[in-house]
Parts: sequence; structure tokens; C-alpha cells
Amino acid sequence: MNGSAISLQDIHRSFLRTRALEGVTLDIQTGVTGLLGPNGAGKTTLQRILATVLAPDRGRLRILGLDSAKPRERLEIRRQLGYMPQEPGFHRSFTAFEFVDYVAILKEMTGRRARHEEVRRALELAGLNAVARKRIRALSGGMRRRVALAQALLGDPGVLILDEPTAGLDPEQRLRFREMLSMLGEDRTVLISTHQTEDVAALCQRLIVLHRGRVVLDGSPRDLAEVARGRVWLADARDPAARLSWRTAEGRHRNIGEAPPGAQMVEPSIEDGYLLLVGKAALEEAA
Amino acid sequence: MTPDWHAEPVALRHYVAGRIDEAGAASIEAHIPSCWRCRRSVATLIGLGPMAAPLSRIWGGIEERTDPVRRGAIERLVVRVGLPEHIARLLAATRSLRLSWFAAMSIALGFAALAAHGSTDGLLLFLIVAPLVPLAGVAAAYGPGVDPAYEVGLAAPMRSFRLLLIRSVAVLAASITLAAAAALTLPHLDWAAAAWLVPSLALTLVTLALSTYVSSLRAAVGVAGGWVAAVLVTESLSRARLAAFRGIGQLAFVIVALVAAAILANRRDAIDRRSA
Repeated sequence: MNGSAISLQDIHRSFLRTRALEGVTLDIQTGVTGLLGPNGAGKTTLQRILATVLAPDRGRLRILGLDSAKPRERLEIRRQLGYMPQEPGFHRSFTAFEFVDYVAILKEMTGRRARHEEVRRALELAGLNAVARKRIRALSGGMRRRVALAQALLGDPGVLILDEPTAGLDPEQRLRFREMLSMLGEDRTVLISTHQTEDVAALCQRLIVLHRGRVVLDGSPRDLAEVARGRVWLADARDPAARLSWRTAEGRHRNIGEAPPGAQMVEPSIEDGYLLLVGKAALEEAA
Repeated sequence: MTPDWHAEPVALRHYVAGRIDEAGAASIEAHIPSCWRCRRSVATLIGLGPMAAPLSRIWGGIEERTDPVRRGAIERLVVRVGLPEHIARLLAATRSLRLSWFAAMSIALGFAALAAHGSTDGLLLFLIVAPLVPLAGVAAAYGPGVDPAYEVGLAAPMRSFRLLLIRSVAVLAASITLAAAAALTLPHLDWAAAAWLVPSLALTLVTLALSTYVSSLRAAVGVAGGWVAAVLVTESLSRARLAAFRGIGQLAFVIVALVAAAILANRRDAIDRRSA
């Protein structure tokens, strides 16, 4: 797949008086793209619009060249889309196999033999073979997230929309997820939303930072780190000039903000850039 | 590894047809595990031959026995009635098609039928309650708040309207059967024993039509409240007993049902996405 798999033009969405998205315009290509932002930034709303679950109030969305506003084209989009919601609901009395099988039927896989083969493939890809016959209510939170991922992988979709796929996972599970998402992003478009800057640094060729419903950064993880260049320094104590400051494992203070003359500058991280970008806006909001 | 020789096509045809001697069959059986080409030829010949149907049946039986999906009583019944297996699976995920739901509805109908033995007001109570059973069942069959996998389902290509109809028809059929069974226990099996049927359809269709504007639960609560109020007001204003269920009332319910069905058909795309 070449070119823009997803194209958003001037997307707006409000819930009563709350403006969740304000004029979001983006083009997203093949590969893993990260969507970063604090709570309430509009990440989930954007992902639900991309999954065609929610209609925008205004603006245009095209996925794989198809217009989501037209019912027939929307149907075709859904045939090529895998979606893992932030809080996937389960029929908890179902086993992992039964739940994924149920979603496979919703994905128009009606022949039992072929459908069951596809369900086995998706469960294997998500590393769930060993627990396929366990009831969902008996599975851990991490396993349930894998079940949610398995259903998204059914039918080998060209576009994957994953809302907080690594939330609640332990470090080992998170690494397994990263490996899997990295593999999936080789030949399809994967959009993941996350709070975890480490996930973005490890996985994403591109990242989009949303804040208050607007795109405040669209670039590479390096671009996000560059936001903090010349604004991160180490000192023996908390610097009053710093917007944010914390004591590191080495016992020194990492300060972020407008550095005083003569400060010992250090290489900025993605997290520094993110904190400056969103933290600054948060400070303005509070003022 | 593929061997450097292959069985003669004629020999394979005879083997598949069972017209080959024991030594020839043994030779082919020793060869095909290591030769994908001859194996594929045998599979193709079997697929074209008279063994295809019995083998498919045997395979179906194996699948049946090793099916990783547990099928409950209602799902098995649906398959036995002749509906496809995947439709039965969709119904298995319907809250209002579970035995616990039917048990609760049976108790409600049982009490209403019992009340009908006591007085005319009891019969009125039964006629009010009976249409609420399918209405509640349909409201609990599909939608936000009642289907845990609702959002995942919305993003899937099966149209929400189709899923809603499949579940609603199944719930309606089951609920009406239940209400009809309860009606058979009424003290008098006259016109009044069936007077709940058309209102049931009308109320269910109105609920479905309203659920294209608000959630199915809100729609059901509003319709149920309106229904009880309308019957009680009609009963208190009219001199005739069970006035809402007589000729003009039934005609009104038919009209309401038709209008609701038209609205539902017209707004079927509205349930294809969430409003919030």
C-alpha cells in the first residue's frame, strides 16, 4: 500500500459544549504512527471517527481512498479495518475463541471451517493459543487486551486502529506487544494511541501529538525530542527557573524549561519534548 | 523433499476409485506422503469423485465433535430449526435470549395471568404486561449499554440494522410464544386472550424506531411508560371495558406499527454509528 492510507480534512467533533476535536487535518501512511496526548486531548474521539464508529460534525475522512460519509464506502472501509477500542467490551461468559469467533461472524465470515481457521490464526498471532478455551472472565487484564487485539487482526486488515493497546500491561507483555505491532506495521497502516512515550520511541516512525482537540506536533519522535533541545539541564538542586524538575537515579535534578546561563545542558528525550509541549499548554490553561 | 518420480495419473484415478490391486495401492500410499504433487492430484480426484460428499460429511462430523465453540440449549435449538450456524452464534450473544431472561419473563407473565383469574382488573393487568415482554426483550437485544461488544460490532462490516433485525425477530418470536402460552392459562379463552398481540408488535416497532434517535433502553422506558399511561387513561375515560384493546384500539395499533416500521426502514443508517 503506497500513499496516504488515511486522510483527514478539517475534522471537528463536539459533545454538547465540549469541543473534542477542532480542525484536525492529517495524512497517515503505511507504518506505525503514534497518537500522543494527555487525557481529554481528543485521541479516543479521533480513533473512533477513524474506526467509522463515530461521525464527525464537520470535515472529511477518507480511508484507503474511500469516503466514510457514504454508507456503501463506509462498509468497504470496515471490511479493511481492524479496531481495538480503549475499553473493549466482552461477552464474559464466552471463551477467548468464542468471542473472536463471534466478531469474525460480524466481519462477514460465515463459513464455519474457514472462519475457525482464521480465528485460530488471529489467536496465534496474539499469542493466545494456550488460553483459547478459557472463559474471558477468567483471563487477566493483559490477556483480555490480547483478545481485543486478536479480534482486530481478523481478516488481515490493511488499517489497524488501536486505542491504548499497551495500557495495563506488564513490562514483558508490553515488549511482546511492541514486537507484534512492529511486525504488523511493516506492510499496513497502524495507528496507536498511547500515554507511553517509550512505546512511541520504540515503535513509531511518525507521531502526532494532540492537545485540546488540535494537532500540536506532527513529525518523527526525534522532532518531539527537538522541542526540548536547549531546555533540559542537570543541576544539583531543583532550579526555580524550571517548569518541571525531578531528582534522577544518579541523585541530580533534571530540569526542564528556560535554562539559566551556564546550565549543564543534556540531550533531550521524547518525554522532555512531550512534557514541554503539553505541560506548557497545561500551564497556560491553569493560568 | 519431492521424489523424482510421480505416480501415473491412470493409477491415481484407479486408486481413488478403489479399482487398484493391493500392491499398487500400497505403492501409492508409500509414495504420496513425500510427494506434494501426487498428494494434490489425489485430493483433486477425491474432490471430483463420488467420495467427495461422504468425506465432507465425515469431516463435518469431526468438526462437530472437536468444535471449540460450546453451544447452549437455545443455540442448538436454533440450528435444529434450520437456521445457519453463524446466525445461531449471533443469537447466543443476545442477553434477552438466555434462559435466565425467559425465566424472569415467565414469572412476570405468570403473576399477571394469575391476577386475571381474580378480577377484570387482573385481565387488564395481563393485557398491559404481555406486550411489555417482547418490548423489554427487544430493548435488551442490541445497542449501547446492553451489548458489551457493541462498539467492536459497529466497526465491523455486518450492518447494525441487520443484526438488530435478526435479534429482534428472534426475541419477538420467543417472547410472543411465551406470552401466548401464558394467555392459554387465562380464565376465558375469548378475544381478550389474544388482544395483546397487535399492541405487542406496535410497541416493539415503536421502540425500534425510537432507538434510531435515542438509546434502545431510553426508547423502551419511554414507550413502556406511554403504553401504561395510555391504557389506563383510555380505560378510565371509556365506558366500555378494555376499551384500548377493542376494534378501534386494535386498528390504531396497526397504524402505529406501520408508521413505526416505515420510520425504522427510513432511518436504518442512523443506527450504523454512535451519536456519542
